[in-house]
Amino acid sequence: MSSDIDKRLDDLALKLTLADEGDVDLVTQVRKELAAVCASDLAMDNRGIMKLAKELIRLTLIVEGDNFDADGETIMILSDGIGLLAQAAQGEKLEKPTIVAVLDRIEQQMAAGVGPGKKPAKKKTKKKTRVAPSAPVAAQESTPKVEDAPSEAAEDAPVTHTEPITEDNELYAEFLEEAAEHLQNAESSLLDLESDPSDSEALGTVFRAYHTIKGVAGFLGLTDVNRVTHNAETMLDACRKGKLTFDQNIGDVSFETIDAIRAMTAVIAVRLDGEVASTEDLPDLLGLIEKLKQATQGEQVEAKTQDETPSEKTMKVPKRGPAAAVKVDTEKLDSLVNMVGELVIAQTQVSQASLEEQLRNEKLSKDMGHLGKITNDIQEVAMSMRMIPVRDTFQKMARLVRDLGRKSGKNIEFIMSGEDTELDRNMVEEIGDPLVHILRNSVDHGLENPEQRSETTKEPKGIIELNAYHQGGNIVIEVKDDGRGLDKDKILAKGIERGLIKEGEPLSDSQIFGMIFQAGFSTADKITDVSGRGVGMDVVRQNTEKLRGKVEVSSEHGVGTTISLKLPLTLAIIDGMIVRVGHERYVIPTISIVETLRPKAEDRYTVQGTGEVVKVRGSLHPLIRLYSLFGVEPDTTEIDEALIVIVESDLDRCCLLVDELIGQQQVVIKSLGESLRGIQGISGGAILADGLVGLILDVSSLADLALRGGPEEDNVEQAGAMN
Amino acid sequence: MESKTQIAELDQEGSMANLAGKYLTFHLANEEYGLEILRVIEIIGLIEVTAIPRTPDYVKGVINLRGKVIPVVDLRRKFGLEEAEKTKETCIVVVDIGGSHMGIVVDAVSEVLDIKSSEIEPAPALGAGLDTSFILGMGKTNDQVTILLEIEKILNSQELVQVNEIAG
Repeated sequence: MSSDIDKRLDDLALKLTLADEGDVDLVTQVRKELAAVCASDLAMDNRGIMKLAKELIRLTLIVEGDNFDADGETIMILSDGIGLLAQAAQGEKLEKPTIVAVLDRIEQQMAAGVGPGKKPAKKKTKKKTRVAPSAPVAAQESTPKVEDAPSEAAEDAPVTHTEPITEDNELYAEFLEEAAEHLQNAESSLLDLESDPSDSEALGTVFRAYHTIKGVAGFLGLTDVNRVTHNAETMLDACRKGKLTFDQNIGDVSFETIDAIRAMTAVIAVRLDGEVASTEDLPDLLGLIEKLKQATQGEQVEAKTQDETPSEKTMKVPKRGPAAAVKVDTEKLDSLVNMVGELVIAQTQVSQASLEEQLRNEKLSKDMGHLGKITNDIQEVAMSMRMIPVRDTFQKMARLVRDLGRKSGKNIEFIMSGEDTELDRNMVEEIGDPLVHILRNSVDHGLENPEQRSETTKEPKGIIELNAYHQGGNIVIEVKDDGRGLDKDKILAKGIERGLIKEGEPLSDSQIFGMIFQAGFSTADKITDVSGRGVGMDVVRQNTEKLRGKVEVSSEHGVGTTISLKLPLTLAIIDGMIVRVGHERYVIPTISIVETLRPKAEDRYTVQGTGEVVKVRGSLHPLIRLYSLFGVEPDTTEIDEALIVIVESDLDRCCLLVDELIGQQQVVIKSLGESLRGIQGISGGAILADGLVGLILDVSSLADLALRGGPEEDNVEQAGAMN
Repeated sequence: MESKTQIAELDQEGSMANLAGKYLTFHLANEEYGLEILRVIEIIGLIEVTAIPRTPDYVKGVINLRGKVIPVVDLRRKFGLEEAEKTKETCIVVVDIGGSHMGIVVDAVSEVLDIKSSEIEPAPALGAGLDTSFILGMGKTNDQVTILLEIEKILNSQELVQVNEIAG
């Protein structure tokens, strides 16, 4: 059957190229053929083709319904569309942009020539083959479409559907992804436009984003999205044509539109999950449309009172990858990274095994070197595939700062640098929250009012910088403001009041500033709805520590504050010191190692005969004999023949007794699997250079285990109950 | 129609009918055991295992299975059998337990047996000292008795953690 289709499509394409204008019979033939395509495996297997065929059917139906003539352009579009389908039917792969181009032309053509769209009833019959017509989406599609003539139908309230989506899921999912991408582009272009309203390219980007979303939303029967974007598009079109100038007013409404569309797409996402969505979070769409219309007339509209920053609401929208990217399942990526790791090990083993042979055989040694280089390159690439630039997150922050500044009446210049710095995908998602809190603090407490600033030598415009850069194997994300800075005396007073420190205690700057990360610690005189409750910085510290990073604060009173997050490049790799105890090897995270040394026998003291401490340069640290804790046969039990590694966790500093330091190495962290989760003292496994597994020590739980005998009784019970 | 009633009858007879199928059989000491073939991912030779401290003794440790770290359990120790010398035939059977992989050390794998439901008998009661809850049934083929194991019951993750707690 499908082999038939490709011939027939070919025929049709030929006929269409030769067709006269107004040949409605041929159009009918085209429609029938398209219906066959829709029902064929070809379209079932490929969303793009399905969409193209459906759109073409819509066009033919409109022509057939006498709504407008089969003019030259229509015939051309049909011809091109059928040509593409014929190619596809012959097994050629269609490029997405080509399909999209035809879809765009179809839409333009329909928008240009069609009156109030008569809903083509035949489309539904064609769909019967797949799902019963009573399915919610089918019902939705049979409601009159308004996208072709929104102005006529504009008096009705836009309908937001809430029932689960059961049909065409892929189309909706694709729409969500595309919409998220377009919205993001539009948002960043809007920010550009605000700084330079004459930027016609940016204006074009925003316009196109609305336009595309409008088109697809119309096709999918999402009248709410369609209506809003239509009005926004009309407004921007007026700007494009010079009837309006892009000003603050239009910018505000545009941002509001973006938020509204995001909220609506979030509703769709919920529906896609098969749940009934609530429209509670949706903004007032009718009001928004009204505002858009007013703005199009050049009237001032009231800026939205924002009760919440947008970033939280938009979390549900699918994230987009970098431009020109292929979407790959993360599972596939992980397994690639695994395999490459194994490849490197195998390569090393072959190379080592053939060392003697390599000395004799120059060619072999050269080839082995070549192989080694390639495997290393592959490993590097595989590792970097999990990395994405922080740009998206930064752009969200730009928007946040803009909104916060507008709200607090502060004039802010927001400067970003290093948006292309790459971080592990998971990390990029995780740094969003801490950054929001830091930026809120900077805007709300850091920066002074313009009046206060004018009393000093500062410019009235406050500056907030958001920078990302590499620093010695880590990534630093830094928020810098030129505001009033932290008030050391106030923090000290507060710390004493809360009993965190004693009066007169000598403290370094970093110790003092460190207190702002305590839960509930706030020096703010008044609590605003943005910040001041002392929660934010605690979140910052916790999230950063979860990512195995560190927060650093530097500040000068009256000059400004810099908060930097120092993060590892990826969560998957740690820098570890490999140590040997007997014939077992363990990996100690380098970040928790203070120093290693060989103690003298007389530096060891016992407490009550069993507790052991080691004196290192005057201070005493408890000694943990790893071999006895882990039941391993050691080389030696005498501490002056072994080595101690002094490690630091948030609670303690202690000495681990090991036989040998093997070396420092970056290792990929592997989970020990579901069944071995939660073993005290061990956080995971790592595959070492010889292919065997080494265990990664979890210093804080290890210390806990050795010095306090493990978690409290009820903790154990709880853990058991949870399992 | 007829076949339906047949199935219904078989179902009433007990779950034995559902047990028919292919089993990978292996040896432990002088006994033969069978594992549902669908549970078996692969069989690898015995490689060096990294011991995990503070786990029950039958948890031998973890191995690197092509970049994945998976736990390995010694069935001999689990069943309280004597330690055996490592031979050429000693191997690790990697099984799928609720989506995660786990290796079990066995003396030797022998063959894949197709066992019919008529050849399967329920697990006998062997007195209070012996736990038979993880035995699906006993297969009798070619004058041979194969103990069909329900691997989840032997090595559920819960147990590894619980025993771990006792050790702690």
